[in-house]
Amino acid sequence: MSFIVFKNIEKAFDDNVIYRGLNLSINKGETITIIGGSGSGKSVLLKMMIGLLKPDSGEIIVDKSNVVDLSKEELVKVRSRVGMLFQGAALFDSINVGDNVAYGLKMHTDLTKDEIDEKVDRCLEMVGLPGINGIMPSDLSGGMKKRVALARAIAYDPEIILYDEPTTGLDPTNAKRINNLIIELQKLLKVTSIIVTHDMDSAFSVSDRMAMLYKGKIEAVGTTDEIRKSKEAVVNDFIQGNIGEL
Amino acid sequence: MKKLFETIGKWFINAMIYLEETAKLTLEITVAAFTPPFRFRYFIEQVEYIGIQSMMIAILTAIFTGAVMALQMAFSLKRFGADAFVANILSVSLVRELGPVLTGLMVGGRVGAGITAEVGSMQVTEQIDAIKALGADPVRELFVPKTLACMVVLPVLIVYADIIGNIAGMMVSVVELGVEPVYYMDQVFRILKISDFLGGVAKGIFFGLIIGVVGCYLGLKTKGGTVGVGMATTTSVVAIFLTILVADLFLTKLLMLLFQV
Repeated sequence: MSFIVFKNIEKAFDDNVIYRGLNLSINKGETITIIGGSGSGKSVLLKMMIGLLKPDSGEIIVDKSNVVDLSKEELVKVRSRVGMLFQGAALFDSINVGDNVAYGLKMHTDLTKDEIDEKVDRCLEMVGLPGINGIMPSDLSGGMKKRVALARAIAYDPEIILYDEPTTGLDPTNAKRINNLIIELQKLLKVTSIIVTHDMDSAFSVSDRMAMLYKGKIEAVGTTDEIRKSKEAVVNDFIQGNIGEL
Repeated sequence: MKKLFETIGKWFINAMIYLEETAKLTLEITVAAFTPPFRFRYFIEQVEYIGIQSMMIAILTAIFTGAVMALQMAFSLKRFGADAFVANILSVSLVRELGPVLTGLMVGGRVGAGITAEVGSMQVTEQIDAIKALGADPVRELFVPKTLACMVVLPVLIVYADIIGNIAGMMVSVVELGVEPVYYMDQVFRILKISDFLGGVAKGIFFGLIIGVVGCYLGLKTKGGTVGVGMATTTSVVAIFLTILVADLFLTKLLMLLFQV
C-alpha cells in the first residue's frame, strides 16, 4: 500500500491553474523525483504535503491521515515526521548554524541541551561541515547553506525528507556533493525521499522512480530507466532539453 | 464614472479584507500570548531592541513638539492676555494627545517598518515556511514577542515624552515669557489629573498593539522578493500611521466616557 498519496488534487492561484486533478502514489522508503518545467507547480506539491498550502480540492494522504483535513496541532505531528530542504535553504539568519540545526530538535524532541549539542555535531559531520556551529548563515556559501539546511532537515530523524530544488544555483562540484549526500542519507536513514528538481543529472543519479509534472497532471511516472526510454514526446523533450511542446 | 466606482469598490473591499485579517491575527496573537510555551527570552530581547532603537527618536520628538507648542502659544495667547495659561494648555495637550500620538507615529514609522522588513524578508526567503515546517508557529515564535514588546515599550516612551515635552515647553516659556520655572511646574501639576496621564499610557498600549500587528501582518503578506519587501515596508508605515490616527479618535472618545472628562 502506498505511503503517500495525492488524490485528484486541484489548485489555482487566482487565474493561474496549477493542478487539474493530479494523482500520484509514493511508496515507503523510495526516492522519487518530480520533474517538470519552472512554474509547473513542483514546489507547491511539497508545500501541500506538509500543510503549508491547501489544495482547492482533493486529498493528500500521508500514512493514512488526510493532511488537508488536519487541525494545526495535528499538522505539527505530521511535520515532526517530515524534514524539508527549501530551495533557498531558508536558514534563520538571526541565529547561528548550531541553533538552526537544533531548531527542529527543540520542537520535536525532549532531548537535553547536551544531547541536542551532540546530535547537532553529528548532523553537521554527516553533511561534511563539522565544527561550524558558531558561524552565522550569512557567512556561508550557497553550497554550505544547502548542506546546513539538510543537516537541519535530518536532525530529528524524520521518516520523510522533501528536497525542493536541492542542486539549483550550485556549482557542479557542490551539486554532486549534495546528490551524493542524498544517496548516502537514503542508504543510512532508510527514509522516503521526494525530490523536486529540473536538474536531470541530479534526478537520474538519486532516484528510484521519477514522475513528470506537465499541465497540472502527472504526465508520466516510472523508474529512471522507464523515464529515460519513455516514448512520450513531452517527457523526451524535457529530459533531452528540446523545446518541442514545452 | 464606472471606473471611479470600481476603484472605490476595490478600495473598500481591500480595506474590509485588511480589517478582517488584522483582526484575525490580533486574535491569534492574543491566544498565543496567554498560552504556553512563552518565548520570554526573545520578548526581553525585543523590548531591549525596540526600546533602545526608539528612545532617541521619542525624546527628540518630545523636545521639539513641547518647545514649538510653547513658542506658538506664548505669542498667540499673549494677544488675548492669556499667556499665564501656556503651562495649562500645553501640558494637557501634550499628555493627553500630542505625546501619545506623536510618539506612536514616530515609533510606529521606525519600528513598524523594521518589523515588516524583517518578517517580509523571512517570508520571501521561505524562513516563515521553514518555521512552520519545523513544527513551530510563527505567531508564537515571532509575532507575540514583537507585539508585546511594542505594547510594553510604547507606554514607557510616552511617559518619557510627556515629561521631556513639558520640560522643553517650560524652558521656552521661561525664555520667551519670563515665567518662573517653579510657577510653571506648579501650574502643570495643578491642571493635570492622573486620568490624563493614564489615558495617554492606555493609548500607548493600543498603539503598540497596532504597530506590532500591522507590522507583522504586512510582513506576512509580502510577495515578490526584495522589491516586495520595500513596497511592504512603505505600505506598513502608511497603514500604521492611518490606523493610529483613526484609532486615536475612538480611543479619545472612549477614554472621555470612561474618565468622565
